[in-house]
Amino acid sequence: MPDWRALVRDRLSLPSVRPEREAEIVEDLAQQLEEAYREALLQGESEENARDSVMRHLPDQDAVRQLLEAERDIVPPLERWQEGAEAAASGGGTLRAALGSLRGDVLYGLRMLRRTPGFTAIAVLTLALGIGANAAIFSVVHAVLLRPLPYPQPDRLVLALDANPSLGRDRANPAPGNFLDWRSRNKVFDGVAVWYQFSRTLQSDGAAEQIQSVHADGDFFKVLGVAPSLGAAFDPKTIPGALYNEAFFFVGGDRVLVLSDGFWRRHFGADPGVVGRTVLVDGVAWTVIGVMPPTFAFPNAQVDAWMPWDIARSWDPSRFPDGPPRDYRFLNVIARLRPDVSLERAQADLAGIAADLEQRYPKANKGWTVRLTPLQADLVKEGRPGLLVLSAAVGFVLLIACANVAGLLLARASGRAHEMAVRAALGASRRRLVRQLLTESVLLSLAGALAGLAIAYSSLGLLVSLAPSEIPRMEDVRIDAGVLLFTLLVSLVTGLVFGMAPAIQASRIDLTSGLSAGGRRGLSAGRGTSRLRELLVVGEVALALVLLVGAGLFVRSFARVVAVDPGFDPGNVLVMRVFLNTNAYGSPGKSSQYYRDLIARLGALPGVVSVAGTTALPLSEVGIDFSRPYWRDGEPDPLGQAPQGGIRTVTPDYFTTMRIPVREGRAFSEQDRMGGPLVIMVNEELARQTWPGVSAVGRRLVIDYRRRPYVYEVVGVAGDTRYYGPRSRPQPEIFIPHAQNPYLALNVVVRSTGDPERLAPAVRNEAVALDPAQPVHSVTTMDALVRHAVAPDRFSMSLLSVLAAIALALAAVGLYGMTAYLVSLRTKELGIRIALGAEPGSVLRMVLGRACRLAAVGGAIGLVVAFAAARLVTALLFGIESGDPATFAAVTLLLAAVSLAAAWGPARRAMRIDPMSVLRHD
Amino acid sequence: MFTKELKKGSTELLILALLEERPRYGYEVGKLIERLSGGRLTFRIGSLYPMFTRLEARGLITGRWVEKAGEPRRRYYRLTPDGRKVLAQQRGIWKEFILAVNGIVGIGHA
Repeated sequence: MPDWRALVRDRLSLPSVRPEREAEIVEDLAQQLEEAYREALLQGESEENARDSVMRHLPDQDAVRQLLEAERDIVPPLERWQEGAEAAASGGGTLRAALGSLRGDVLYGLRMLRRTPGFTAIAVLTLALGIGANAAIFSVVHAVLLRPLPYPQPDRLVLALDANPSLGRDRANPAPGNFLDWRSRNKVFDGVAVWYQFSRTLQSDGAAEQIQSVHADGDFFKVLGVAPSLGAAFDPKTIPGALYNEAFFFVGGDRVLVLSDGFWRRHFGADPGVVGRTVLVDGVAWTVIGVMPPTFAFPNAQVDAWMPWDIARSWDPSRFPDGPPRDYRFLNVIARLRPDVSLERAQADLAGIAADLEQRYPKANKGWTVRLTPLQADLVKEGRPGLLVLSAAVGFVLLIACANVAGLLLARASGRAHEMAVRAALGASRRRLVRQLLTESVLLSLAGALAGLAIAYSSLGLLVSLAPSEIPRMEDVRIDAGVLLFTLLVSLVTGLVFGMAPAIQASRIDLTSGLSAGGRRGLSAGRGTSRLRELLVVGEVALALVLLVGAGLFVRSFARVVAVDPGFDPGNVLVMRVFLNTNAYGSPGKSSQYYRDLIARLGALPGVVSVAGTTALPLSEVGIDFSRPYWRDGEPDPLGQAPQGGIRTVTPDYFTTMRIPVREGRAFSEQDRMGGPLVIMVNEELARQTWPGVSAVGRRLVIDYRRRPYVYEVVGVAGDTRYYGPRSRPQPEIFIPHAQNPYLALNVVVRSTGDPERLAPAVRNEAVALDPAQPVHSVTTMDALVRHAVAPDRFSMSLLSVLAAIALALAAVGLYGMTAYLVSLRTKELGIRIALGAEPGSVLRMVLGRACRLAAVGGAIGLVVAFAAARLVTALLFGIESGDPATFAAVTLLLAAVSLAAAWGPARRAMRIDPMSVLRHD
Repeated sequence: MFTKELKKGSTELLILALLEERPRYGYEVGKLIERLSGGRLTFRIGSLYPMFTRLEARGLITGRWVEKAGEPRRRYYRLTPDGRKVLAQQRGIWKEFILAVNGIVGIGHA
């Protein structure tokens, strides 16, 4: 019994008819044909003759057309897409007609996509990957680079920096004396403020905690323009501020502070009665006067409290007879431009003041000028290049996804030739058909966008948590209106991009072959489609290669970064911070004694190899890191042109604990104590620069530190360290014995035999046992600090690698699909070849050869593009050239292997074509 | 024998007339037309089918799936009240038409 239903379905193509109604028609006709067949058999006809005679009863073109016309009158008006087309095409084109027609297109498109759920699912998933990745990265770009800062008129905010072109420094921190002149003499700012961030111990209700506090002078909140959410902020008219000495310990003045929203919630449980409460900061009582809103995070999200600073009066006249110093360059200055003032004019004004200060105070200011830079640009400059690279990478992934979906659509178009022919026969213009197909494409990409947004939303949390802290404003990253709008635009453009070629191709209707039996595409039309698909695959392979090269370069760069010798041994070292209370330990000798006792106690713990203290720890963000000018003894003071050396005050065992080699001379010992000869150690970099070619040991250096320049004798030369991270170059460093220069706050480092974190509880206990009011803070390990230092490199490398892997997978899928399609097109031809005696091996080689040639062309184009593109990211790479041959070679091999694997399956199927079944189906 | 145009004009009338007596299914109607015309009028199933659809669209007939014991599931069509009205009209028109044509062409009554 022939399958009449299948035969009827094959003959009928009723695209504008609801599936249920179409099923009914098929059922009815099939049942009638079956009855006719049975009757013929009963009349004695053979099966074959009965079948042939009933076959003549199948509907012809004319009947199908009549059926469609009749069905039109039955089905609801919305499905009369043709009428809508005619109305729009007739030029009457009112908005209502156009909208109605569009609505018809959309409903029709949805129905067509529902009919092929497998295809739709694959296409939507592919697009979701591409669009979702773009949405996720754009959320970050939007929050970090694009969204204006949360202050009124944020474009009016600028940072004021010192600069000294003759010393090759284009940014340095301003000094207090100079700042005060800028403030009093400028004519271009509505307000100018200064701040400095410092860590302190805050105690309330017994519990002590380390906080990040920002000391800001009176204009600070006025310049930023943000009011507190609770209580009041400080302003110079009512609260002149606190006085701090040069080591930033409190010495007098107003003791009030404003808390951050985060700290208020964490520490005070968001208690609205916090205003007026007293807390102990470094052992001194301070009063809380206000709380800032949650969106306020200046200068960064780690700040817990802001404290007023009377910077003009903070300088002890006995130590600073000329007033606030002009060569202590450690401040941060922010200003708000007057509404009528341009950046250029402000720059000129400040430069004029700086020139005058250079004349008046040559010792401190020779060669120094001022540079203004917009705040937002400055905040994002660290993160910008990396984010731009990632944006380009996800853009590539999306392009590859588009190419894949376009290929799928092209293949699908072959099966819709009949439908297109019928519609054309019913009067649809080519433009109309293209419009309908494009509507389907846009529907696909909108669906992909929805799924992609879900992917982006769920991955944002992970992205934010992995992001290095160098990228600012990550806490602002979310899917907001801007991201949604971007995603919508991207999906619309995507739909048009990948839909255009297939739509044009599919609407090229060959009426005769289209309407004939089943409407199989003619061979020539198939060839046109396959050429397009080949082009798409070449493009995909090229793009994938570019991404692979990028990822490969970043992977190798990261490996180089991680392999850099930091100059010390970070393994098994516990680090922590102690901040001694000024009142208890401010008198001479007390802090030295405390640290001697603490180091002795910790050294006695089981598992501890050695203990030391330092004011400034490599890679650490907590600590006292500053530089002072120095020059060779016997030479004149170079005034403002002296080189700067990083000052590190250390206890004797510092170098052994950190395993920093002592290259010449000796390390500090107990003999280097207060009252003895002033000694220092220097690092190799300083020794090389200052005394090239000769030993530095025994030589004398003048350092302008403390009240006046002192002469120090160099007793030892230590190995260089990468103080600011693996990518930084060693800077000149000067080490001073703690006994001769006692500091209240030190980083304590403990080297252990095993896992340093296991020591942490014991270490804390010892500190508390020594003085319960002096807990230790910021306990971590050197290994953790090293990992943190390479976090930006790891982040870029990881993301790029993931994107490159996705791109490679998509390109492989594209190559596989295209090869399979080609094989299906040429099935008959290949079958005939095999029937005529072609070896299966030669068929395999033919198919594989075609696929590999395409991959090779794509790869070659990709290599050229990659070579050019890689040069753009040279600045981000470390230790390798952008044209690194090993990377390019490895990536090319990988791509070749994957391409071969992708084409293998279809090629094998081609090899196994059974010529007999092929010929029979003809 | 009869051209497509001739058949087209009268097919609807044929179907309506054959459904007047009782509901019938599509194949049955086709066979009836062949039999009652003495084999002079034949329709392919695929060509007759759209007529049913058109009549249904105009509300002159309605179709319904019926399953009887021992028989395959078939779609039966029957006349609606509107269909009966139109049938009566069409009959009248057809009689007039035949008389008119005969008068001109000269076919007398046998």
